[in-house]
Amino acid sequence: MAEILQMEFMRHALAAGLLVSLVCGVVGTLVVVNRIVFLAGGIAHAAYGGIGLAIFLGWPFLAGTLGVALAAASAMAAVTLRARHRADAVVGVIWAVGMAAGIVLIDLTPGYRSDLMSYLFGSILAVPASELGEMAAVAALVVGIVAWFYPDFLAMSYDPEFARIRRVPVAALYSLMLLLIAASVVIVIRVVGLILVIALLTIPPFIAESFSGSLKGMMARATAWSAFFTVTGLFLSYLLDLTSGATIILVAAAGFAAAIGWRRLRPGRGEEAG
Amino acid sequence: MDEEPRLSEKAIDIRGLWFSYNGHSVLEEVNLSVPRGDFLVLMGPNGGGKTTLLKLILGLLAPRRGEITVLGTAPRLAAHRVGYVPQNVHVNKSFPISVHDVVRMGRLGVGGRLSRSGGRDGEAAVRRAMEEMGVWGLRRRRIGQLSGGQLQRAFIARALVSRPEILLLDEAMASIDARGRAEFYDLLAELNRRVTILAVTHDTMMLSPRVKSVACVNRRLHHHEGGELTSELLEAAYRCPVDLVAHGIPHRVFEVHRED
Repeated sequence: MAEILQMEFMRHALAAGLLVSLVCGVVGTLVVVNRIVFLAGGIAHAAYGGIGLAIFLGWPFLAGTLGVALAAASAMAAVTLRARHRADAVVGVIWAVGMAAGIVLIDLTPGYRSDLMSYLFGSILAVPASELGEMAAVAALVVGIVAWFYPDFLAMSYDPEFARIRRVPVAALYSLMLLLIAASVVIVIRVVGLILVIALLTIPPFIAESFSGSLKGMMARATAWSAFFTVTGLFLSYLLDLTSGATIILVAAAGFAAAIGWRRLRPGRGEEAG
Repeated sequence: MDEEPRLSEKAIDIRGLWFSYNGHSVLEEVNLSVPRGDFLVLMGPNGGGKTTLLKLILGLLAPRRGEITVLGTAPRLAAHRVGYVPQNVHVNKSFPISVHDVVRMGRLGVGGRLSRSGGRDGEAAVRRAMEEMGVWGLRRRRIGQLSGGQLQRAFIARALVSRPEILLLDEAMASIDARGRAEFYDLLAELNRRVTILAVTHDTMMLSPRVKSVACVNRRLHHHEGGELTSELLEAAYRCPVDLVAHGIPHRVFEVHRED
């Protein structure tokens, strides 16, 4: 353990994993209780198009990816708010086009092939210190915004109609939530990759939901579970020489199965909210 | 002194209202006037436009034609003075939230953004509403653990926190068993001493001597002031007179009407 931590890339990986856990716990909770996993998937695949664009134009990873993901999230917010029944199809289109554009843009980039896989499965072991700072800034911003608007997000997620009557700006909050998802997805992709980002956004909150009596509690528990899965997966992948992003998700999946088993065995749990 | 004219004003006034969804007509030429202090039950079959009418009154939808006035102003501007109790079938039962936090939502939008936590006054109002509805002892429970009747009372408490002048109930009786209903009506009658009540239902069993007037809506609205429910009225709304006669309800409603 101690010798693993002596390696700088491993310390960076741990820090990145913990930042991602915080973001997944907080934003993933909003994704799960608002039942917009498919929308989050669409944003993630659009972000992949952003990665392609960043590589093609030689921009830094965060700038290109964040820009495209935010644009896609805004488009989805507009469609969902204006024509809810059409949203599914539009999200599907953005999903596919984002992915395809990402691949083609990387194809078009001269002499570039090596990093394609790293963005599909993540590259937690190759996070440089400079990017760690950017990730921390994004994470702080995301968590800060959720904390500031917490009562409003709670009301919107639980009962949007009542929230509207109580003058909560539900449409604006909904759009804000999609932008937060976009920002989160971008830094989570760095760690576990496009294919696994949805798993990390949904599995820990899903486990946390049935054990939590409040949305705050669910966010905290989801963060803790996520951190546990990330750290465990990271060490296992190092010890067994496996792809770290995939290992993290398999650990999370095992936790998911255990949580379901636990719930079946103890159905009476959670009498008091907390 | 400014309060005087407001007391005489109507709680809800609807004139020549038309509404349609995607070209499909839902409400036609609806006129309804609800005086302050009324306890009006709005009946009609599912799909007859009852919930749409409630949403129009709350300002969540805008009429295609016609005019709605709530507490003397536009519905949107009056919405925070109206307590809304939604149908609880729509509620996400697995949502991680305590009964206390659900009722606290009633404080949102009261006194502006910075005082949204409500302060001590807000907490006192939340507690008072929960005690009045008998759910204070359940405050630490998760919302999904309440029975239908308890949930209904928690939602009424949430609506009461902001001291509304009108209470709108959507299918409030659906989740309450026959024995609980009389008790529930006593509770509503008690609230009716200070709040105008408009309750919507598709169930003729919703009627009780506590109700002051009845209207039936099935695209068009038939309002009988004074709480007289005739089989003609129901027939016009439902095109099915049997239901009412079988339950023997008109007698009770007539009795109350004659006493007035």
